[in-house]
Amino acid sequence: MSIDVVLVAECLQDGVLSVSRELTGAAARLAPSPADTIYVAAGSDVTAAATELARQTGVAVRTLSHAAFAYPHPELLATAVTELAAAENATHICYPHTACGCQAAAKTAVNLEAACITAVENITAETDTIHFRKALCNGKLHLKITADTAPVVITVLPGAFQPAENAVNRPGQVEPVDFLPPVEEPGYYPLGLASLHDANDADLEKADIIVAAGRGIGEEENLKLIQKVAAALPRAAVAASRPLCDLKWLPYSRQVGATGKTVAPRLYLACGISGAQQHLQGMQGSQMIVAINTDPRAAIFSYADYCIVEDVLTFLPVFLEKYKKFSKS
Amino acid sequence: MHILVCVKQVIEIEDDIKIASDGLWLDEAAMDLDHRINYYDEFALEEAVQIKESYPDVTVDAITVGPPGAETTLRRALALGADHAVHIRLESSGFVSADIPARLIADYIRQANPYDLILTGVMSEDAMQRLTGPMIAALCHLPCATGVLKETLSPENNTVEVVCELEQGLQEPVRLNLPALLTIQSGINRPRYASLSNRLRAKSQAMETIAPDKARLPTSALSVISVREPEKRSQGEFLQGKSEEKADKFLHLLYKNSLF
Repeated sequence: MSIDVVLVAECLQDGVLSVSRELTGAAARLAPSPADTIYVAAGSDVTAAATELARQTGVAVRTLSHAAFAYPHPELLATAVTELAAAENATHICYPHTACGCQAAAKTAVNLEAACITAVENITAETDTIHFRKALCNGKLHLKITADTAPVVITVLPGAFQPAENAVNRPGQVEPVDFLPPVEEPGYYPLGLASLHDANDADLEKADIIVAAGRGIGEEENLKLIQKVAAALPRAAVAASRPLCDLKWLPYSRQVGATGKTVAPRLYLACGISGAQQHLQGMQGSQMIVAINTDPRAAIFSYADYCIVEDVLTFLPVFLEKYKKFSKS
Repeated sequence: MHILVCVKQVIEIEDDIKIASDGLWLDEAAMDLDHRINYYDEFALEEAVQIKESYPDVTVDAITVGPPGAETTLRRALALGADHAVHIRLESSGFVSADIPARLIADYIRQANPYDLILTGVMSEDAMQRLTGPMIAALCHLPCATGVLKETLSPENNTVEVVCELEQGLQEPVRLNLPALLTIQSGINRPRYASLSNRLRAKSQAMETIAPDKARLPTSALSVISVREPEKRSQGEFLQGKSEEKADKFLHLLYKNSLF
């Protein structure tokens, strides 16, 4: 039996992260049957997590259990996946679009001399060919692309695909793979894991309303306006997009996005935020999204329930004035 | 110590998107495009310059792959503190598969003096591929760390310790043997401004230009099908009227959703 699609599960401390399940949604567009698909999961001992993944998805899981995989090790992961994909003559190798997944995808593609497409948002099967869609220029453009040769290595954007149903209605097989790290010195030594967030800044997760500021606010001085709005609204907290934290206007614990916090408040008020992909990943689960931006084509407006084309700095004071009057009456 | 910083000239699109008649790329000539150095590469460059300022005998080279116009990005790198600049000329417009610049830069690295450290931004703002850095590392058989938020060199041990950014606020410290390649995440430092005198000096500074043999250029296994503006995906309602009216409508929304 030949394997067409290799899905690489994202593993952390011997758990399988939920983005891994979404890969089956991508695989369903690539292989006619789940029997042609396998997962690869790597960790110090991933048997338990792999068994659960196989039960949920019905897809067979090959486990790579080795002490070297105790912490994310994209270099070694790529080496292992290369060997496996080459042995199976796989046509598609799919990683989640994460820091570890992208790095391993790049190395796997070089090893296999394969085409590589990252942050894939959609896959459509045409006659004889498969089209992959990804965003360019902060989501202002959609690129449709195809690979002229096999295999193809892709990374799948979190949230872009729903996990496929377990079509076979029975768990996939879990099979350990004998993995020996290459004797050659990798020169890459993971030293542990650390979390940026401490328990003290949980208020973003608890807030009913998040007032989030982006580069569109212009000056650091204007954060005061954002803070004023958050102070006026009930159970509201201030958050920011990554560029503001890069400027140290707010700490990274206030950053919403793939590399920061994932939030789902009742109202997410995006002020001067253009809507970078990595930001959208952190807030698109909000119950209601209202965006204020001067650029009517800003990507954030495609995700907002209500769009306000205005300059934050002039609009918010008008709103605040009315809000105060209204709440008094 | 020899450091190489890979920089890219990116385009920034305003709201005047025009697609070329073949549907494969933008009609760049008809648009008011901004060309500038990639945001993340500025942090990579600043990190290299800070290393140069902290250790003796460090030289920083900047390299780019791109059309003649990309020279301005190299001039900027020189103004920000790079010592030498290398321009690999590649006549290209449209989407470029990351393996092409990666192969050209890897070829250069193998031929030039060996570098102890290679830095680049975590990704480019326009293509958002996150590939070029780790591909160069794989091609040159160098250890690689991506999304680096902090780096501490230890020249006496010939190692560098870094903190890599994962998702959801998680970070992974890693030690790498030198030579190594690091892709730098934004926020690792505060990129300096280029002073006028440095900008003027950079204007006339010599740079190395390489015109790769056309017959031996790496080819891409990817073909573009189309480039489009995304279809409006949300049913999002644009609030109409003057600022005052929009504020009233927003207020009403809050009230309706009991967010008072």
